[in-house]
Amino acid sequence: MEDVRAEVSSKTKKSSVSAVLRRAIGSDHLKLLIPALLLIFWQFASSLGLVQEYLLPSPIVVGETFIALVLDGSLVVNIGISALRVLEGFALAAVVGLVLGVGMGLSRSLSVACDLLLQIVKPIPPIAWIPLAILWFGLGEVAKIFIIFIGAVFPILFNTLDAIRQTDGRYVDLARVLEVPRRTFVRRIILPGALPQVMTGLRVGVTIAWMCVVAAELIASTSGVGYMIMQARSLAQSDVVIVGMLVTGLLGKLTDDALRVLERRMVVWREAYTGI
Amino acid sequence: MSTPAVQTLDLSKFYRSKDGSRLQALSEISVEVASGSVLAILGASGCGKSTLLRIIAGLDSDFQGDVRVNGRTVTGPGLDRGFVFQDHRLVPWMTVTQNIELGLHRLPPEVRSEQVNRKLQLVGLGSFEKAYPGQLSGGMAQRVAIARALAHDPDLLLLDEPFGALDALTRVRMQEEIVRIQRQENLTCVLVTHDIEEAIILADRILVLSSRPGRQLALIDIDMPKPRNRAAPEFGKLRQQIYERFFANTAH
Repeated sequence: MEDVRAEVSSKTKKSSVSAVLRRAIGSDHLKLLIPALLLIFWQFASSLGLVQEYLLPSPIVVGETFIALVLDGSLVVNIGISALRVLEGFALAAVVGLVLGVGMGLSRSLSVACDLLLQIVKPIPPIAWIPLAILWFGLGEVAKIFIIFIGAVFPILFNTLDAIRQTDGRYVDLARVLEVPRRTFVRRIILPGALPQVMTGLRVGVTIAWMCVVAAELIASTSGVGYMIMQARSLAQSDVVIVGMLVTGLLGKLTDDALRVLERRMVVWREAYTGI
Repeated sequence: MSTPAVQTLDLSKFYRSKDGSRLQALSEISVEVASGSVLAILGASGCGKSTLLRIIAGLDSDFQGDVRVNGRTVTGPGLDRGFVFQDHRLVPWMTVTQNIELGLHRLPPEVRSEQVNRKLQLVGLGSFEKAYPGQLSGGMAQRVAIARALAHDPDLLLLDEPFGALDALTRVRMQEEIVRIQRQENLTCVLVTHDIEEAIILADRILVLSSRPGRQLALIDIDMPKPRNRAAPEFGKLRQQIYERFFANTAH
C-alpha cells in the first residue's frame, strides 16, 4: 500500500510546484500592470493638454473628486441605495431563476411548456422594460428592482437549466444498478454536479444586476449611482461621471469576487484549469 | 444439483438500425454459472458481450429468452447484483465514503460507515475514506468502484471490462486482487473481457462469443488451481489454444 500513498502525495506536490511558479512570475503584480500603465498614459495626456479637461479630466482630478464625494457623504449614500436595489433585485432573480431552472431541468414537460415564452422574453433588453416598469410601478423602488430582476433572472435560469441537462448520462446507469432513489439521485448527483455552472449563472446575473441598476437610475430616479452620474452630466461634471462609472465597476467586481469565493468553498472537489 | 447463480436460456437480442432493418447482437445464448464460480465472457469488440452483461444486470430489458439470477427471472436492476463499469464511474464531488454509500441507502445510517470501512479494507484501501476521486490513481479508483459494487453484499458481481482503462502493470495487480477477493468472499462473478489471459487468470469457465451476432462458440472449463501462474506451461498452452481456435483467423 506504500506505493499507493506515494502516488497521492506526488499529486498534491504537483499543485504546489505550480503555486511556486506563479509566485515567481508575480501574478499579484501582473494584474496591476496594465491598469497602472493606462493611468500613467491618461495622466500624461491630460498634463500635456492632449485631451480637454471638460471631456476627460485627469486621474488626479478624478481622485480628488472621489475623495470630496466620499467626505460630503453623497457617494456613500448613493452607493448604499444602489447596492440595496442590486441586492433586492438579484435576490429575487436568484430565487426565481434557481427554482424555475431546477424545475425545468428536472421536468421535461415544464421546460417544454415554458421554453417558447422565455426564449422570446429573454432577448428583450432590460432597458426596453423601463417605460412599462414606470407605468406599472411608478418611480419608486419596485420599478428598479423589477428592471434588475428582468436583467439578472435569465442568465441564472438558463445556466441552471443547462447545468442540470449536462448531467452525465452514465450516472443514470449507476443509479439504476444501485437502485438509488430519485430524490437521492437529484440531491447527491444532479444538483452538486450542476453547482459550478449554477454559480457561473449567478455571477453573470450579479454583474448584469449592476448594469441594470445604473441604467434604471439614469432614466428614472432621484437617487443612486446612476442618478448621480446623470445629474453630473447635466452639470457638465465629467469627473463625477467617471467616479460613478468606476465605482459601479468596482462594486460589480467585488460582488463577483464574493460569489467566486463562495464557489471555491462549495466546489472543493474540482481542480479547475487556471490557464498557462 | 443446486440452482445456478446465473442462468440464461436462448437469450437473443436485436437492435433496430437506422434504416429500419433488424441487427442481431446476441444469438441464443444458454449458459449457467454455478454459485461461487467465475464466468468470463470472452470475445472481440462488437460481439455483444457487454450487452449480455447489461441484460444480466437488468439494465437492458429489450431481449428475447430468459435470464435468471438465483432462480429469479431478471426484470430490472437490483441490489442482489453488483456492477463494476469499465470506467470507474465514481461521482467526482462525492468522497470515497460517499461514493461507496450510494448503494447503502437501505441500511440504517449508523451501520453504513462500518460497512464502508469493511469494503475498503477488502479492496486494500484502508485510509482513503475522505479522498475525492480526482485525487486517486486509476487503479485506486477502480478499487473503490469494486468496493462500491460489493458494499451492499450482492450475491453476484458483474464486471464489464473493469481493467480495460488501466495500464498493463496495474491491470495485472488488479486481476490478482479480484482473484483474492473472489476467493475470500466466495463470490459469484461474471466478467466481460477481450483479454484471453485475463479470462484464464480469473475464470472457472470461459464463454467464447463470435462476432456479429454474438453466438456461443464454446464453453471452456478451466481446472487449474487458483491463484494461477501466468508463466506455467499449461497456462501458455491454453492461451495459445484459445487464440488459435477462435481468434486467429477472424478478420477485423
